[in-house]
Amino acid sequence: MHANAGRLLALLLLGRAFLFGAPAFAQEEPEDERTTAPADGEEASADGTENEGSEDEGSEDEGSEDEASEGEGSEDEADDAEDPAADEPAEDDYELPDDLDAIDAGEDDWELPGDLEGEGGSDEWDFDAALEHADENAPPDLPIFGETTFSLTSTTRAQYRLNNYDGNDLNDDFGSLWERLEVAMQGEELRLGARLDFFLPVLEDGCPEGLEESCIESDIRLERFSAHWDHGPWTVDAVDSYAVLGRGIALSFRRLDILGTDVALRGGKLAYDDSDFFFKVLGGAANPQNLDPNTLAIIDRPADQLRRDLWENPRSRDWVMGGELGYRLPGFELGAHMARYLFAEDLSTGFREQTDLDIFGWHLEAPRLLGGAVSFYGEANLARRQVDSDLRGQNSNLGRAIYASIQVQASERASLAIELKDYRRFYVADDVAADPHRVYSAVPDLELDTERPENQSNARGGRVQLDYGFLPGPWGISAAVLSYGHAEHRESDDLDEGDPWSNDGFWLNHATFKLQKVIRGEPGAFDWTFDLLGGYRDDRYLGARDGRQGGDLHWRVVHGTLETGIVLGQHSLELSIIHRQESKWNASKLDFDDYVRGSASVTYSWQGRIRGSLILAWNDEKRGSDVPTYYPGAELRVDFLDGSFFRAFGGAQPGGRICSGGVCRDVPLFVGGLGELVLRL
Amino acid sequence: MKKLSFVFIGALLALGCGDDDAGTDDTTDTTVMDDAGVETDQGMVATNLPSCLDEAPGRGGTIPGSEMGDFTLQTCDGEEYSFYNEAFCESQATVISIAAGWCPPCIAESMQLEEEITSVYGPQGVRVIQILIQTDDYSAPDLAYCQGWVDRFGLDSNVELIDPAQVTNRFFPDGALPSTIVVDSEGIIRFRENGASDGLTTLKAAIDQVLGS
Repeated sequence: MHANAGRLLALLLLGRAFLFGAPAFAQEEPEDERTTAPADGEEASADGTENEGSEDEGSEDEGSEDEASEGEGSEDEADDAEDPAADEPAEDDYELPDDLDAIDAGEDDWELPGDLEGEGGSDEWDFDAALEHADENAPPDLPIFGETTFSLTSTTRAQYRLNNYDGNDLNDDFGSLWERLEVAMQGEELRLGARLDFFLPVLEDGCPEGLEESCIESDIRLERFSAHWDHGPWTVDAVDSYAVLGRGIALSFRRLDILGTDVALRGGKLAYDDSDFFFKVLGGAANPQNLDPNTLAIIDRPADQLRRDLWENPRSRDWVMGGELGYRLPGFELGAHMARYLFAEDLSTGFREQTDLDIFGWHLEAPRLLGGAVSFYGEANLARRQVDSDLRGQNSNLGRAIYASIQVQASERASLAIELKDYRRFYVADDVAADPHRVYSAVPDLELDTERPENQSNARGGRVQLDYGFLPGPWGISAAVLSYGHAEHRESDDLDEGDPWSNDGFWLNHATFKLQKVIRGEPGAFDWTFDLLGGYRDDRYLGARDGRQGGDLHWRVVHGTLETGIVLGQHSLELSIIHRQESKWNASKLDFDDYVRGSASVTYSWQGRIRGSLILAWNDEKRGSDVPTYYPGAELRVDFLDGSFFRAFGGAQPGGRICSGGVCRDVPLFVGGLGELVLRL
Repeated sequence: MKKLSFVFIGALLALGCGDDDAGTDDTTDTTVMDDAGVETDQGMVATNLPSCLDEAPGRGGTIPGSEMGDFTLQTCDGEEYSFYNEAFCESQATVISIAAGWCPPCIAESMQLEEEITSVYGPQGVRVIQILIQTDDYSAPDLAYCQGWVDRFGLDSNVELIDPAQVTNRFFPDGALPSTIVVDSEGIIRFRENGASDGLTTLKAAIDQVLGS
């Protein structure tokens, strides 16, 4: 009873802090951590944790990219907006014990601020004073909106880039200025937001006539406008919003920072969700972010709908309509969904090609079987693709996507996760080689993103992972094994053709082992972490081709990652080393290409607010070319109290293939410097 | 601007960045002079006019519908070969395939071009040019590599050229190879496809359309 009272008191204090400013202990938290929530809470949770997790593993640098564009989502801005006193001088003339357990223990040696103390200096709350204080900070009460808060996030990035070795010298040696301005007003039920993107190349030589396709160009546009209404079980989104059906296999409009893709649905979305029944209908056109942050190229495909060609050529963009409905029983959720895509007319070859795609699917989720020890998710989708081409005539084919995951919490210490996947010619894009900005699916990867998984549209296999924690100690181990066949088959009218285990496929096996020491609870005056991951991957031909026989090696990878850090009070030092030794069959020279990829970084951090890193990456994958092998760099980041931060990077970063959420792309390397300032008001 | 670039490159090299030749592949250095001494950018060279042209072609574009610019590269035996030459005048269409040794689809397509395009469409006036931009290990191809490529894949009929300076990189801005282009007898780009072809199905259909129009 006493403990519960203490927790209640702590919650009251936290509520007070939320209203009137964060107390000292809350301010110790890095501000950016609370703002890394995905842009759309609904979509984020539905996107599945696997993808998010693997994204994090994909790149150390991703974080900065994340943070560069954070605050874009409604969730983030809502968080900011709900903290109206964030800019005020905090009245932190009271203290809380570092460990709230002290409250439970009755250690009431903390003090309330004077203006909240009751008469006589008692520890009782003076609620009249609190309400009076609240009134002073109340947001304005506007018609329609009710109590309304405003937020503004400005992201300014100045960058100078040297040669990016992409074979195009017209996008090298130039400076640029990139400004993203996001504004939002959050009412009691209604929220409006807008985002303006501005890009200006400077210090560049201009573009020769006829070579515009290869040049860097300036751009300014209202990239996003969103209206969101939330009323009980109903939500309505208009203009730009993220969207997902099921786990995103059939439809996912989302942001993948590591790939530099950010695609919204420009149209409308109506959803209803009470505790038992839910449905959603949506429709509109894809609105991809037009500036590619990886290349700094302006991608105007499909055309931006806010420009004057809004309705002039509707087939110049990808359209989608879809919906889902479902019902929840105790412990179960059953849902069905459908989506119809009308992809943009492809005229890039000089001839017209039109692709339509219909998907129907259902899912079953049981998150708490056997008293919560087992959770299950299964989803099956059937796709029908129709292509009308001036060159290839009309044809259609079928594809399927089946995915299931089971997680077993065997005990407090041990858990088991199993994933199964059967994809056959299933890609939610107009082509398997589609621009990553135009892939509208979250593919459940069995493989880590760092492994550059191939042929995700045609793969069948499974993955098993066992985790064990030596509780109550800090150590834990994890072992995972995956095995699947994969191949690429673009055209076939028969679902039974194009089997990923056929002679023109590959058989991939990958085993990883991880040893980890974590800090449980608050770190002591001296503490340390340790994370060691090792793995072996083996990819073999299933049939004879490329000068190889069935069973011969195609690609072998040995990889290891060591991450360790020490905490000394407010100081911390982290070391990260990643190394990969790869051998891949080169069908051209009929021999293996042997190469290494990796990086090492040392990061010093003070209070989590100031971080400095020295990084050295290496990659000799293209050793015969003049592309560099070593990539030194340095990064500095300073976080401010309100979630604002400054970041600077100078040096080089390797390029190559990067993957996230089942989508891959090749990005050029970076050599240059950049400074970025994110301000939140 | 260039001064700033050099300062930065110097700083990076001092830190140990990259190979010795890092940052020196600026292909603008490949600017060349034509026979009349006129400087042209990107190595796209205006050559002596073939008999069927009244005036030198312009710089040209890269997308279907635009005019093909001229270029002069080397054949495997070291001779200069221009796109706009007498062979152009005699052809009904030209297929250009830009390839690299590290690119398996390029290899597959190389032999397919010989067997299914040059052999079949050659008699109908279709010229096939394959341009090698990099070797198996991403280095610039030389004449020996070019000849080795021809010998290894038994390419007797295609025109094989090397482009060590990648002056044709404008045709594959996304880096997707092979890049396949069809130019009609008027010098207009009628078809362009980047990335692995689907058994040359679309290329054959495009040639049929160009020859039939």
